Parts: sequence; structure tokens; C-alpha cells
Amino acid sequence: MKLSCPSCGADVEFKSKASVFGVCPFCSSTLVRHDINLETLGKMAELPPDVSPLQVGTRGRYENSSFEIVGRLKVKWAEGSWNEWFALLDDGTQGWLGEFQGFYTMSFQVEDSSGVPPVDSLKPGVKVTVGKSQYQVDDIREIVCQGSEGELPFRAVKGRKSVSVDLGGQGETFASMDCSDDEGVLLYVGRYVDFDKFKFQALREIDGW
Amino acid sequence: MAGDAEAESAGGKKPAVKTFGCTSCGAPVSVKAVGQTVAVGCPSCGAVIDVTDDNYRIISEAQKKILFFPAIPLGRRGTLHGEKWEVIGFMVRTDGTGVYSWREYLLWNPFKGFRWLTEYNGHWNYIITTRKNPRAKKDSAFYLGRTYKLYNRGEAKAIFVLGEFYWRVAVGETVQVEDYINPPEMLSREVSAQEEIWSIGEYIEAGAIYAAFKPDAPLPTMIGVAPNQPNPEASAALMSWRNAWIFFGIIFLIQIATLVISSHSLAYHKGFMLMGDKPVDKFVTPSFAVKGWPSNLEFTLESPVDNSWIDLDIDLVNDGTGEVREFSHGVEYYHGRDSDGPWSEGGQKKDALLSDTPDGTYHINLDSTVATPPAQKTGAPQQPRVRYFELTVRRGVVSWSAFVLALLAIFAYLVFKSMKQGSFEAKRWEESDFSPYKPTD
Repeated sequence: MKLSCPSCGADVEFKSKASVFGVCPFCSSTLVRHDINLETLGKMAELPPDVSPLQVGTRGRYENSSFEIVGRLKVKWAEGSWNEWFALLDDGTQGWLGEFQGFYTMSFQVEDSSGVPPVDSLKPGVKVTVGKSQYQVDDIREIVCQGSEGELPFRAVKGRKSVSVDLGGQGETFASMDCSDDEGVLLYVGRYVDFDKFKFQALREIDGW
Repeated sequence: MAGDAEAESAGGKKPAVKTFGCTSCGAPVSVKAVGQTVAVGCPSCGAVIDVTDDNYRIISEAQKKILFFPAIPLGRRGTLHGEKWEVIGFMVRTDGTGVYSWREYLLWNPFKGFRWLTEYNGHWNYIITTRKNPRAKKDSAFYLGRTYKLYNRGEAKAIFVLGEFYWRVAVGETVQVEDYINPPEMLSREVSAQEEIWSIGEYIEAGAIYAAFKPDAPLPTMIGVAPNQPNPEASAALMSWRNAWIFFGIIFLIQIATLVISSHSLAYHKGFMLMGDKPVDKFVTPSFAVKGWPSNLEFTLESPVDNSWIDLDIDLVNDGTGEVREFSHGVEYYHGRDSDGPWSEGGQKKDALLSDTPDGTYHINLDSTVATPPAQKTGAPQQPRVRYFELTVRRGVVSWSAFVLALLAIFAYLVFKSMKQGSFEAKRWEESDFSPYKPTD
């Protein structure tokens, strides 16, 4: 759906029905979507530079479907930063393509997060069951949103604070939790994927590579 | 961020190198893996700087003198395992005692992330961080269905840092390390106060490093055997098993072929009786034909000797060429009874093989000698001499002795190879406290 930016009037496209937040690609206004109405929250500061080969518009394949990256969330923790790319699959499913120190993951939100223990009861080594699978807490980090672009399913404003929990599962699988005041616990399960497996198209050009 | 030659912004434009002035010495410091690099060791003064900090905080102070130089210069690119990598970081680490030091090179590719090269005693490893932590139990670690044996447990201390790193490295940073091996792989665990990181490395030939990165100077000389260096004798042992099978196959086929094509046809057969009183007599056989492939002739001598013997000097004469082949043949048979019971020695029938005999017409000149029986006690009748023998000549007879000898040779070869393999394994474990080759305290 195409809407007009209340700030600059440019077309702002929302490809996913689930996207409630967007950044105007022309004037960097941060926009909250209420059905077909857009509300301006403020301006998104320029994202810190990075050399990610991904960008909004990059297409790829995951298992038997293809997807398009429609948004990005850049987060920072005490020891560095990483990207969570919001990916819209052809069947409308929303995925998150994680990019951390050259590793890539694809994960999907688990709607019912009621079964997981509260975040303050977790510490590395604790076992957590999600669905039928068991996971083990690897890391718990406090993260801050450094900025976002494109469209996203929650208010990914700069400075959004949350606690991120990484849980390792069987084989290449993992789970993760994002716990914030506004959204509560967001639970995801996913797996590691090799860069080449995604068969990416429309990657960002990187100077000299 | 004053003084930044900032990279172009994100959002579709090409990212570029980020450059800033070293907080300690002011020299320009560049960052390639922008967004991923957290700490940079200044190439001019060796100070380590936090690039995620707005003020470029110094993590560890400048070095008085830069004493270490990477064998592969920072910024150099090379292709390993089909992927192009750029060297962006270099670190020298020592063990807890400071006796052993090794060098680590951080490789980066904007699409594929990071890899490590480590160099110790001229031996190289190509390393990647594991996506999930392997399982460790006692002196073993388990990862993706393989078992790794503990080789080293101790400390690793960074004593020199140059270039970019994706964590906040500092000179003096010490972590607990464990190395587990299953050549050519090595599984390593690094535990710090913050985290536990596992990585998996594979031994890589120095020649491959040289070919990929074309360093300006020769790479460090290789010393000794690396913990996870593939045992060349192990692959050689595989080769020798292969060779042994091939060799066995060949001689087996030859033997089978010989069995198939050997006619084993009768060329000549006759019985002879020594005439007159003397124990010697000469015979000349009529000519007989030997047909087929050039192969051996079997001479079977049979005589009812009984506590006596018979000897033949045989001249085989080729009627066509006049060529003569001489050899001796004989049978002896003795038996009796002593304190241990009955005994016997020899026999009344014996074969002799004459190899590589061409076809043609032959005759035989025979010179025969028989035993004279020992003198008997007075009054007893003199035992008669055995004067009769039969000679049979057959064509194309298969010999098994060469085949058995060849099998023994193959076996000896394999035993030798496996001993060489064992001595390499002992060298591999020489520097380990967990060697299966020496008693543990």
C-alpha cells in the first residue's frame, strides 16, 4: 500500500500489512501507520555507516520461497552492533534476517510467548522449551536501537531499549527473545543460513569488492 | 566525530573506508569492516583504540617499540577455499608461561564475514568461529559428529595488536584456551569473563598461504610437527593400502591368467631300467614335441627308492637350435624307527620346474646314478639296487611359490609403512601434556 508522507508528501510504500512503522526514504521522517493514516513521530538520524552487503530492496530465497528485505533495525550492545533485516516472504510471512559478525540467520516470530520464563529469571545455561524444541540460553545482552529504515512491525525508534536473549538449539537452530517495555516479550525461532544459500539479488555494491 | 573522513552514509550508497586520527599518536588509522570493527591497533604506535566510542577512547596504550610484523601485510588480499579475503587484523599471543608465541591474522570479506589464520612454528591453520558451541567432556570435545582429543589447556595472552578486530581487544587480554585435535582439524575454546567462543580450524599448507597472499618475504620456516598437521604417513598409509591392493590384484590376475592359459599337457612319459651291474647308466630319449606359449616344463621323477636314492643329470636338447639346458634331479626316501617312533624323510616322487622354455622339438640325455645298498651282516642276502625310474615331462605348469612370495612382500611393505605412521603421531604429541605417547603424571 502506498501512502503519502505527511511531512514531505512523497510516496511511502508499506509492503507488509504488519508494518506499523516506517521511515520516509526521502525526508527521513519516522512514521507510525494507523491503517491508512500516517502519523509523524520525528526525524530518523542517519544510521551509523556499515559495510553490510544487504539493503532495503535486496531479494533472496529461503527454503522454498523468496523474500524481499523491506526494513532494517540496527542495534548496538556493549561490545558492538548488528543488523536485523525485516524480510517479507512471498506468502506474506514476516521474517527477520539477522546479520552479526558475518553470520546470517533467518528467524520468525512465535506468536505465543507465554510459555517462556520471564527474562529476569534467565541466565546463560538455563534450558527453555519453545514449542516442542529445547534451547539453552547462550547470551543475555542489553541492546539499544541505533536507528532503522524502511518499514518495520514495531516502533523501532532510535534509542529503543530492550533486553536480547540468544538461545542455542539443536543443530543450526536457535531462538531469541527481545524484551522491551513497549512490546513486552517478542519470541523468535530460526536457524543459521550460509550467505550463498540465500541466492541474494540486488545486494549493495561494496567499493573494491 | 571531529576529524573524521567519514564514510559515505548508509542507505544504498557505496560504503567506503573510514579514517580517523589515532588518539595516541595522531597518525591516520583506517577501518575497513565499518560497523563490525570494534577495536583497532594503530599501525604507527600500537595503541588500541575503541572505534565504537565517539571520542576514540584508548583501550590499551601505545607500544614503546613495535617488535612484531605480520608475515602477510595488513590490507593484502588472497583467495582461500574459493573465497577472497583481506587481512585486516594481526595479533601476537603467548601461552601462560610466555614460552610459546603464535600469530593470528584476521581475514575479512564483506559478504562472508570473518576467518582467522594462525601461524605457529611455520604451521598454518584456517579457522572459523563455530555457530554453536561444541560439547566438551573430560579430555574430548564433540562437534558435528566428530570427536576431538584434548591437546592443550592453558592461557592465551595478547601481547601485540595491529589493525581491526570485531571485539574490544586489548594488549594484555588473557583468555583460557583449550585445543582439541582430530587432524587435520582443531577445535578451540576460548573462555573470557564475558563469553565462551569456540572455533574450528583446519591445517593449511604454508604453500597455499604463500600462493594466496603472495607475501613480500618468505613465510616463517616450518619447525616440527603441528598438533593437527595431517599425518603424511597416514595418507601415505592409505596410498600404501591402495598400492598393496593394486599389486595384489595384478599378481592375482597374473596367477589366474597363468592357471587359465597353462595347458599342463603331457609332453613325454617313459619308464627306465638301469641295465648291467653298474649303478650308473645313460639314456637318450626319442624326440618329443613341446607346444604352446613359451612357459615352464615340469619334470616329474618317480622311483620306488626305499632307504636309497637315485640321481639324474638331465640335458634337455633343443633339436632345432641345438641349445642344451642342464640340470640335476633326484629322489631319495629314508625311513625307520627310533626312540621317538617311526620317521621318514624324502619321498619317491619329486617335481622340478624348468622355466621359460620355448616350444619346439626336444630330446633328453639322461645320466642316472642309483645308490648302492649298504653291506649287510654276513649271511644276510644282499639288498638289490633299485634300478627303475619314471620320468614325466609336462608343459605349462603353474607355480604358486612366486605368488606366495609376492604376498609376503606386500605384507612386509604394509608393516613398514604403519611403523612410519606411528613415529609421526608420537612427534605430533611431543608438546602436549595430554599425549597418549607418554605416561601422564
